[in-house]
Amino acid sequence: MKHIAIRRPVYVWELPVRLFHWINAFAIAVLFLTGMYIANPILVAPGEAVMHFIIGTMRYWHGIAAFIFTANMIYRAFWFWAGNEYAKIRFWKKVFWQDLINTIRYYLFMRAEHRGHLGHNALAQISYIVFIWIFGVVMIFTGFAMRVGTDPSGVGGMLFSWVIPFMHNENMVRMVHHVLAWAYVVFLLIHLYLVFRQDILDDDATVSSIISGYKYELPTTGQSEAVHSSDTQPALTKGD
Amino acid sequence: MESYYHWAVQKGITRRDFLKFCTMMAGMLGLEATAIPRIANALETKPRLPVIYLNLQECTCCCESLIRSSHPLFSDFILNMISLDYMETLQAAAGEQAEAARKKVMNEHYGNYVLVVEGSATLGEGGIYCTIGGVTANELLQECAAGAAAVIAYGSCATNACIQGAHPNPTQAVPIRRIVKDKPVIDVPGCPPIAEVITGTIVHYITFGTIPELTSLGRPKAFYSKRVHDGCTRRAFFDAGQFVEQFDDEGAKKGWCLYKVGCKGPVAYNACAVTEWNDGVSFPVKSGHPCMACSENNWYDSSTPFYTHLAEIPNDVIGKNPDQIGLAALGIAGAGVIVHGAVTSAVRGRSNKDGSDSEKDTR
Ligand code: SF4
Ligand code: SF4
Repeated sequence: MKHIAIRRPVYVWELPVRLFHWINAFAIAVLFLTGMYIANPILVAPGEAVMHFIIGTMRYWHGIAAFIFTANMIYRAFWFWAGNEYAKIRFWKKVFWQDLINTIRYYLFMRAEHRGHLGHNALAQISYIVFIWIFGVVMIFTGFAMRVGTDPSGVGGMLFSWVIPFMHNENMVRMVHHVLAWAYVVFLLIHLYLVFRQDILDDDATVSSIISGYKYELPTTGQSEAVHSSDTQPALTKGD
Repeated sequence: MESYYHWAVQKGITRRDFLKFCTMMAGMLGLEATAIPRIANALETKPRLPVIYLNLQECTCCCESLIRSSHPLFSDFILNMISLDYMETLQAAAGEQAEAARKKVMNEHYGNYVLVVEGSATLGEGGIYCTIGGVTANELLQECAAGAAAVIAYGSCATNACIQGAHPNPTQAVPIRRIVKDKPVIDVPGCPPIAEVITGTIVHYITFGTIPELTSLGRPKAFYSKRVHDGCTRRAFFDAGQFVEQFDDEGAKKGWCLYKVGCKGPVAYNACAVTEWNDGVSFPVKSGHPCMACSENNWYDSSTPFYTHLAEIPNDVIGKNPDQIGLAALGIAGAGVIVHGAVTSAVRGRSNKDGSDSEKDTR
């Protein structure tokens, strides 16, 4: 209402970033559901085998989604370089680590306000590095290793045939792939909670920004560390 | 020295059978038709390859498999290739005499013989868990490997220490590869491996003078680049989604896929489904038993319990499967979210009362 007038909309998420987000979400959903089904095939196909192709179909779509997921990751990696400031992660900067500590304290209710983040805060960025990038790369390598096997010839063999000897046997590759799949669901739950929480508390359009691209500046944005005195008082006021 | 062909003719094997054997070998090795004359030529002209066969820490199931290769030429081929020179279990000589025979072959053919090793080396307590002829298995292995042209690690004991290498591995059994570092080592795993696989590997060596192409796990591509699952007779049922749930159910009678009763065929790189056993009669999965992935590294740890689904955490170490762990993690995260949300609204409610002034200021 009245405070909307004084806040400026900022174009934060460029179209490639938003596309990445939704393609990624879609690919992960397909990968998780088909993957879980391959691991636990609960339906029993009746009649003759020739009539059905249930697991075959699951594996087929799992493979297609895997290629989409991988291509999307490569495309996003490129956008780290090509995109705007909000598309980057600069974890080698000191402010990143200060922000990380502040954000953790904020989420532990040890600190009342947090600096307005038009992009991601450092904690969110770290969680993306771990869940999307590190786990994603492990998923890509273990997944394609199981497709390619141990034959080192060909492009696939060159890229992935080392994974099975590296992890000792394919059972271990499969196990890692399967356990990490669950990490994505845990991530999704926390991700949704924090995004909606942020939107409700600060009314900055975090949720709709991943569709529209626009977020609203917080009233705190641009203000500095001078507000730390309120630390002692665990209050979640928006104003400083 | 006489060639294989001369020796075969003396045994009463006809030329027709000999050529059949060469054709079969070419087929098994995945070679094209032009390779058949090369194989025949090599076996006709090249002197017989001296082979020393060591039995280290093992159960001799590999030997059993070897002598059960049912093609007559196969078994004669194998037995005569190795027993003539040195193979404790099958040679006539014993004791000092046997060791002397081994030394003689090693000296006469230094750098030219093939060493086949069955069983693993042991490092525990200086190697005392397995001693042969007064020396430890390790020392024997190193001595024989020094003059070998190539080493074939035959069976899972030799390639991955198999059952004695399972946790906690009290004798510190190790694969041959870990001891023999300066010679080409070919892994021919399986518990036991299929007899024809080692014949094929040796024929390849005789014909081309080089070790065959290997997979990333160091095994001959011709036999080990596909999984049991890839060529399984029950694969159509897997793809269709028809699974045996219990060994006595309707699906079992119909020959459905054994995935859900513990089949590890999807992670087993072995030739069982293609070459099959006992002259192509059958192989375990075809006969109704789930594959245990006996050819894989650490297979005993990672395949047990045998009759549970593939996705069980190896060797029951946690007693949970990844899905249970995943659901638990999800539950913890969910509880965390609920608690955090509750605290957030509590803190916010209080601050709205206490700090309503400051809020008014900025808005
Ligand atoms: S029985 Fe085993 S190897 Fe055969 S298709 Fe089923 S899972 Fe694969
Ligand atoms: S079917 Fe599996 S367990 Fe049986 S011998 Fe072959 S690889 Fe080993």
